[in-house]
Amino acid sequence: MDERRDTDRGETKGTGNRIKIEFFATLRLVLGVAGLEIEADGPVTVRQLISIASEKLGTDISAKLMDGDKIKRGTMILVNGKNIHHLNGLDTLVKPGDRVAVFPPAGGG
Amino acid sequence: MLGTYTGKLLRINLSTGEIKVEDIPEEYLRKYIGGRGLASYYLYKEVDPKVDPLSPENKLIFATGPLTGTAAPTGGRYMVVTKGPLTGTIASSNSGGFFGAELKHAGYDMLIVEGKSDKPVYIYINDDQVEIRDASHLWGKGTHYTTDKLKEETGLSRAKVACIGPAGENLVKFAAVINDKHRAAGRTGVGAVMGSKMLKAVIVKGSKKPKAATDKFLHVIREKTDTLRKDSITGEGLPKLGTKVLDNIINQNGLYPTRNFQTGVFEKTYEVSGEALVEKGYLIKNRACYACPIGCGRVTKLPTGLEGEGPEYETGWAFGADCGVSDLNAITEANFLCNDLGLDTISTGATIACAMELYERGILPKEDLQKGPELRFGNSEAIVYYTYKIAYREGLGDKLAEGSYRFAESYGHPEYSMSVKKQELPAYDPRGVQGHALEYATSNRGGCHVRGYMISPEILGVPEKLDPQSLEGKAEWVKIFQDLTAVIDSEGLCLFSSFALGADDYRDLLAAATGWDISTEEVMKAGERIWNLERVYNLKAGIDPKEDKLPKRFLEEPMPDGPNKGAVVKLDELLPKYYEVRGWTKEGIPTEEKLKELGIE
Repeated sequence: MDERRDTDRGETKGTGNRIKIEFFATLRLVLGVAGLEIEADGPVTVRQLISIASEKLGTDISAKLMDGDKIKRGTMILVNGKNIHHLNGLDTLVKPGDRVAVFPPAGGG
Repeated sequence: MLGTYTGKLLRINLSTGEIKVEDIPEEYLRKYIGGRGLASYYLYKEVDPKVDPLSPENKLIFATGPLTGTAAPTGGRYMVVTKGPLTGTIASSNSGGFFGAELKHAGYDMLIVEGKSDKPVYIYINDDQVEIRDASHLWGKGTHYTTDKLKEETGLSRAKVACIGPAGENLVKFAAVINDKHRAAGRTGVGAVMGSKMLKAVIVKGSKKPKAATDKFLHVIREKTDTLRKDSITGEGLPKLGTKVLDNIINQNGLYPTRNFQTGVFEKTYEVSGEALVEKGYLIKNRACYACPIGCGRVTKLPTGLEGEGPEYETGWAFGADCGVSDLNAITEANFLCNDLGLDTISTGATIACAMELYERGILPKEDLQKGPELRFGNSEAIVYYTYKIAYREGLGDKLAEGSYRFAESYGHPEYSMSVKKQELPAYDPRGVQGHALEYATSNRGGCHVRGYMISPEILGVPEKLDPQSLEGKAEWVKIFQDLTAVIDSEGLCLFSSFALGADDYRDLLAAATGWDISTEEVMKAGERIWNLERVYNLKAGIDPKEDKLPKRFLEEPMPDGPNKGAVVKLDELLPKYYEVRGWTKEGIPTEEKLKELGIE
């Protein structure tokens, strides 16, 4: 509970050498899990992270998030609350202790 | 010749009892399209901008667009246009459901209500049979009872009803018009104008389906419907999770207004999100409006047994994070109450949030609560209690019913009202989105997110991802979004269609429905014309361009935490550029040349 509260606040990072990934919206409904933690000794790119996460989940999520080698239109991947579109795209480096939020295309109002 | 227009308007004077049908010149239709645009033009022509919004001299216009009541995807929208009591600006409020389509099927593009009755009445429309009838027995009743009772006593079980609840009768400045029980022309206090005319309801039954001017229409409809169904937002995200899919998105992006916009991250979002609504089992099914392939409406049932529609994203936020409340039960209950009492959920929740901040700061004294629950952030009892009190103007509710600006001002602190032009801001902290902030400041109906939804490019990445903190090109984007939205509102379509459709698509639909040889440029020019006409009306009403501003909090108090920590809105850089892009003077007034170019007299 406390851990979730912390990430919602957008302040805390993952713990130790872990990268915390959270899934939202239809992605969460499809995968049936709210998130996972990945151990890493050093920085990895978002691209690598997607591939590692796919392996852990046993489902290839890259097709849901990427269009070929690009981020799918409307897909939101946030590293510590910042959209990777305005960082270094799929090559954005994620460090142990960071948190990543992944949203499939979504809208409302 | 007129295609899917009826070319007729119904004019009813409640002072004299006169009922007449008039032709609408085709020239007006081509210039102002219909819906919001056409109704604004009639208001501009017929209602003195200086008029008291709650006086008999104001008019209340229900307007459909050329695509309302057709099979065009999302073609179920109508507008209520009037001069608004909350802002003193032009008011126009959009709603879905089935009422708009039925009005069109009865043979009218618009209904203009004038004057004021001396006793409660309702308007009965069954195609050409139109009557003003006594509604004394319905006065004081909720919108659900009123809707059911009217269908029963007229024997028109399949008729559609738009009505007000006690809030409209009691002239609450943010009272809504509710149609089909759960759909609201929510914002700007259009329900109070209806109440001031002693008009309880309009019940309508129609039997005439609009006929397109070209055979191509069905083909175009199929094509656009297909686009909507295949799109990941309109085909999957919105149907599955509704608008509340946004709670986590906006919170994780750090602009989810919390405790009257004191910060942009709410620590209990996981308790109240769209995902939670599904996971807690409150969601029963989706409900679609007329001709809508999206179906974002939520039919919900609470563990307490209460059933209704909602909450939508805005409502869930206004009673939730904005009031610091994480009890989804209480939030949903307050939502149901608003629908039945006829209140705008955004302004109701946000006004209570403002009162909570005033109370916690010691500005609002305890004795003023008149033994009501404490107005502390997080108090779920308070949101339900004061919602009820507002509708009936009882106790502190009487003051709250004036809206957050007048309320905070009465305690000497208007700066704690998170509003623009006296209308409460919706669920996006402008410090996290510079373009959307500009849209807030310049909206023609006061604080509002649906006059140019810059969240789409700045956060959601549709049609392309813009950096929310960059100022580059934002004025241009805001202008295009505002003009395009005016087109969508005027055609009678839902703004949500624009997640998948673009300006060319709206042109295709209009051209096929009317038979007009019309270009995308001409359609967008109509949008710009509508925007400028609304602006001129506001200027004539005495709304100073200096009101194109934001609460001081967003300009001077940096966001305290989350991903946007340290950010403020750079409005002084954005606004001059916007005026320039609009072709207005640097004081924010449309130039003679601009008005001439647009054909506005």
